Amino acid sequence: MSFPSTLTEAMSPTAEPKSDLWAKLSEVDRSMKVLGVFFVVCALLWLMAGTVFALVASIKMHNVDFLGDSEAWTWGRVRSAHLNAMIYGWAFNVSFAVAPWIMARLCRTRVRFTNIFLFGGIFWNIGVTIGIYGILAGHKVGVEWLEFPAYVTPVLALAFAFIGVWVILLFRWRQTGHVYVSQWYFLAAFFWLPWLYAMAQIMIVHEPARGVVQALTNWWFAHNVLGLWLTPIAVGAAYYLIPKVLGRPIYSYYLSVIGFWALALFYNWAGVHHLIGGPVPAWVISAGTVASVMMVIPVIVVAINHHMTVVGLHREGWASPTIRFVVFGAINYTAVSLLGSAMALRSVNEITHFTHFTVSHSHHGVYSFFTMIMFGGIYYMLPRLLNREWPSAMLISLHWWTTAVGVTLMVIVLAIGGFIQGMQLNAIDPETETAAFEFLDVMRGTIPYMVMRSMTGVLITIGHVAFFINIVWMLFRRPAEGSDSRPTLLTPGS
Amino acid sequence: MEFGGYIILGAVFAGLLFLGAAAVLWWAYRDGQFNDLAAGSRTIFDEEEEPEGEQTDFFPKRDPENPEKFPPRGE
Repeated sequence: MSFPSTLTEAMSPTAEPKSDLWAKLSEVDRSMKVLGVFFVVCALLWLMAGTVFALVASIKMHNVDFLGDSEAWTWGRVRSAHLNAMIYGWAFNVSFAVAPWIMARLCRTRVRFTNIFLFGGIFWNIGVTIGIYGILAGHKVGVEWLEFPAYVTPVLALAFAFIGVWVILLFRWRQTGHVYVSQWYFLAAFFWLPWLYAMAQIMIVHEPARGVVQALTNWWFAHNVLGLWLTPIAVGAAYYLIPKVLGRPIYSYYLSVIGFWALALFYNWAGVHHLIGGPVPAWVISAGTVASVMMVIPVIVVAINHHMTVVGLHREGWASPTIRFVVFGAINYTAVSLLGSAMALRSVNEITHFTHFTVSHSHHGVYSFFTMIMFGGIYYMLPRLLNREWPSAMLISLHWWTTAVGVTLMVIVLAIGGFIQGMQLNAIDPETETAAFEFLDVMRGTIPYMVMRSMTGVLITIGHVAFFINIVWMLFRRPAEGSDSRPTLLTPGS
Repeated sequence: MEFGGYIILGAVFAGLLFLGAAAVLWWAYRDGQFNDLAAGSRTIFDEEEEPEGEQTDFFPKRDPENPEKFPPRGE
């Protein structure tokens, strides 16, 4: 029996016999090749662009004259360009590459109607490009994480609709009975994100809510992009990659299911802790603080599961590029989440709020956790899609060491600098009962930390260049034939 | 719209979301998704291509079947 020829037919619950659609993993990989490579390349280009914006923004923090003659490169624009290039460019594209590929493997079906996904992906990247241009041109919206000009957001919403619908259809076409925990995470992420984005756009950009509700919506959205989009994508990927690479089932599948439902229940509430001290009803802040602390449950669950799955196999894990990156990300998921719960407490937040500590925390989450797991995902995925080995083990090692050391130092430097900054901002002179430090002096005191941040940024940039070279080299090299190694390929020599 | 109005609107949307999550949880229960979790955790493996017990990712040009090429700890 042949494949259904139309989308409508393919969606019918009775039209498809399982025997025709069941696919070997290598067949699934082949069917995902165009999509996977397209989104990896887009993600890579945005990663490099975002890195340039990051370096410029970082240097301007301690050298304000740097590129100071150009309006487009003023700090306010280039910092937003960095944030949006990294989130909507890098993080979304790499999620579109890794999560649907894992989903397709777990569904054990060849992907079909890929033009829907590709169409969405092309328009997504056109939208992000226009958005970044708009930010640099001075058209940005003054709301953090939603800086893209209003004229570009319908394009992004429509593009995501195509992508999201395709992923849900992929799940509908699954040829497996059991829904693995990674599929739960991915499905939830692809359902939550459009809901978040649409609500935020309506209530902030198109029909703006007034006053404090706008700020609440802003931080509900911004925090949930991390918690209900990036987190489920990365945790779902880790739940697949760690046991898959090591050949050992997850330590406690029971706990993993609890972890998913606890995340679904608590994370959505947590974002308002960003407004502690603001003119927001106290009960709203309290609810956010409670939810932030309750997030300890899913975090500990994931930590136990990931750690116990790897324990005893550290030597094997070290031999795998994927595991190096993914385990680094998983460890940092635990660290950043527990730190985040602590930062949601009023007594801690009054020190860390409005300081570089928050910047440290956001890089800890988006880079040390999310990005490192996605790097691991690409190291596992790309050889299977292309049937080619990675050209250089040295470049992989360089990538790992520079990014792991670079981001760890960056997080520590900013946390220390931010904590000192917060203590000084809050310090009261007991004699005069006024601020103990001049604001300008406090800012000057942060400059050494800003210089160190730029240095760690250079280290991370070296890693990104190594990653870029390895991928471009891999794309243009000939497929493996009769290789004497058995590295990441499913079917060596085929 | 005043603050109270947004709260009511938010409560309605939150309620719909909660009901949706409850429905999915009910479907998963009825479908037997939680019946045999130990077996569920093994569904990612494939006897033919990626079997349980076999590592599937290594640095390039390092053969796991060739111990002297296996990278030492702390490389």
